[in-house]
Amino acid sequence: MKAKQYAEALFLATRAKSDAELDRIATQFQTLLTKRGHLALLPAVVRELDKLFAQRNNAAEIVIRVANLGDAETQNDKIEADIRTLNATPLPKRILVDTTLIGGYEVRAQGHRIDRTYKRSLLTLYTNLITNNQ
Amino acid sequence: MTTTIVEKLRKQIESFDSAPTPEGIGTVVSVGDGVAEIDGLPNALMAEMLEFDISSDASLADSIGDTDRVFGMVLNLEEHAVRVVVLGDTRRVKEGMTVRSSGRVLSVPVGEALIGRVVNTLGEPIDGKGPIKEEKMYPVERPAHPVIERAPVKQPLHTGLKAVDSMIPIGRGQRELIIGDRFTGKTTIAVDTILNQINEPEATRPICIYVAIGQKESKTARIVAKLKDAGAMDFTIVVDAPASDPAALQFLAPYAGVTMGEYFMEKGKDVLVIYDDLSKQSVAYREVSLLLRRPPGREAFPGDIFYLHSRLLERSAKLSKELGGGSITALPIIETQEGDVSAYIPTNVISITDGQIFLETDLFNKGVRPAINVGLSVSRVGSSAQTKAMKSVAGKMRIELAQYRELEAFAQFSGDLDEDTKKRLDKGARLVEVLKQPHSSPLGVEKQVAIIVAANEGFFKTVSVEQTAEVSVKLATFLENQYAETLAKIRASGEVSDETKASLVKAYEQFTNAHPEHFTV
Repeated sequence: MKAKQYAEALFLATRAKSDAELDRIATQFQTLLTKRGHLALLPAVVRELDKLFAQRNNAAEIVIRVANLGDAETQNDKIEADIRTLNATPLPKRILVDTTLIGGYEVRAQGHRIDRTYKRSLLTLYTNLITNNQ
Repeated sequence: MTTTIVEKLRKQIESFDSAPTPEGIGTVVSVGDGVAEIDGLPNALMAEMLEFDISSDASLADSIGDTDRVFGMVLNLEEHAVRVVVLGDTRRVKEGMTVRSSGRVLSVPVGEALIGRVVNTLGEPIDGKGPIKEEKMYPVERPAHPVIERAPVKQPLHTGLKAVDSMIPIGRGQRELIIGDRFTGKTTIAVDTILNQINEPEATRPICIYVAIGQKESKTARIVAKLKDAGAMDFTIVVDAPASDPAALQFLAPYAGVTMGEYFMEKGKDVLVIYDDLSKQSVAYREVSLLLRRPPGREAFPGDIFYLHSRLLERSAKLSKELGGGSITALPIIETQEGDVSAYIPTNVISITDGQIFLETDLFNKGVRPAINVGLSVSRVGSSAQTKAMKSVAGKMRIELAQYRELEAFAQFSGDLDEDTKKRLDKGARLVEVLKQPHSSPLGVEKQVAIIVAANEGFFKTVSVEQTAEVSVKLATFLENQYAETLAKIRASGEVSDETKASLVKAYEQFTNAHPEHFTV
């Protein structure tokens, strides 16, 4: 918990800083940890910081999930249309393959998602059938 | 039959249109102790309902086999994350799981279809009688009706208990707290109040909602069985959040109950909601708040513990005629420790409600049941919520009992007593016996009036103190069988006319002659 708090503080402190400033912050941070007797937390702080950077990076990119790599090319037009719907056009794209999706694709960007996978459609159909016919 | 089903399925498949729309999503960063931290969800609302996408990391076959949904409610909106209490089995939530935003605050189904059913906090049926076709969904958090939309509380809600209806009368739209130590009969009073509504004509009978918070499932099952046997489930909804439910569901259960009641109130009907009990709701809310890292205050309760109860109880109201004249009467229950009514939560709720019924362990152990301490109990609505009949006969009872209690303590230490003191002691002792009542035996108001008239007329003067309670029960049965017309007149007119009184006196004489074995003093 403390490691997370340190990581969050460090993350905020290092935003939009030059390399020289980052070096200075890192040194001062280590001194602070030593002073407080929290140096043992340093590895955990680094791990939490990595997570935070990963979360921020995820938020700053488009993630396209497909069942197989070929689907990303064959359905490129539809994917682009959905990206425009999400107002995420300028962001970099990352393609992930997940065979459990069966077919179709899913686009995620900026905390939103458009799910056109076969898996989602089949699950929704199944849920509708069992709900309407109970 | 098979062909019909196949045709039905075929039609549904052909008309199926997935048409997915953009949905707000987040990712579970960590989960533990019933609280999940979510990254993403940029537009999350406070108290918004979220759904954990259990299928996000499972195959289609596994997802189909696991259709129970897991929901969560947003309770903390922080700079980098959203903290959500999981309203279900936390073990099914994993790190990295996708969370879908519903775009609406936590809502429960409301409507006539809920009557007679046992549901959980989310309005899902748990009585094995199949799905509930809800008419609408109402959010669990709704603002209370403002002053301008309310009317004064004037119509009585009869509990069927002589001690309550005569001296601590409850009106429709009132909040009357039932407070006492464990095993003093708090739930019994509440359940007997529901049972007594069977005596009400159907047109004016309130819909009853019993909210069980943190109770043993066996206790709730017993209550449901009792209500079913008596036919009271025909107008009752039971909302069950047992001790095995997550703390979040326990603290939300009363809000779900009052939300279901508001549907009926806004249609012009009367509703009775029982919260059993708010002490357990406070503990559940404390648990959730501490897990959300909210700063603890007195007794480790969060700073808004008062608001938890005040916003709940303020939703009980008597609406004006323009809005249909419906009402919600609340009977919240609080459990005290060793009779300490000055503790934190009891004092909070006492200051919110319109009166309290205080139950004492000493009285219970002495055999005075219901174990109501009339001196400490009060109804702030008072006789405005009593029929004329009851008002006319019960006016002096409280004072007489208070005088009896004073003299009772004095008499223990005094040898010779004057005649007047002896008379008061005798009358007071018999009055205490008359007010005793077996559980699950609520009395209609007309019978209560008749028995109190008997006590006032000195009918029990020649009955031994030990037999008084038994004789009053027999008298009630006698009146029901032989003088049903007289009782009906009291009920219909709400008054005790001279003619009715004369009829009652005649009934008492007849009873005395028929049972001389009881009148031996």
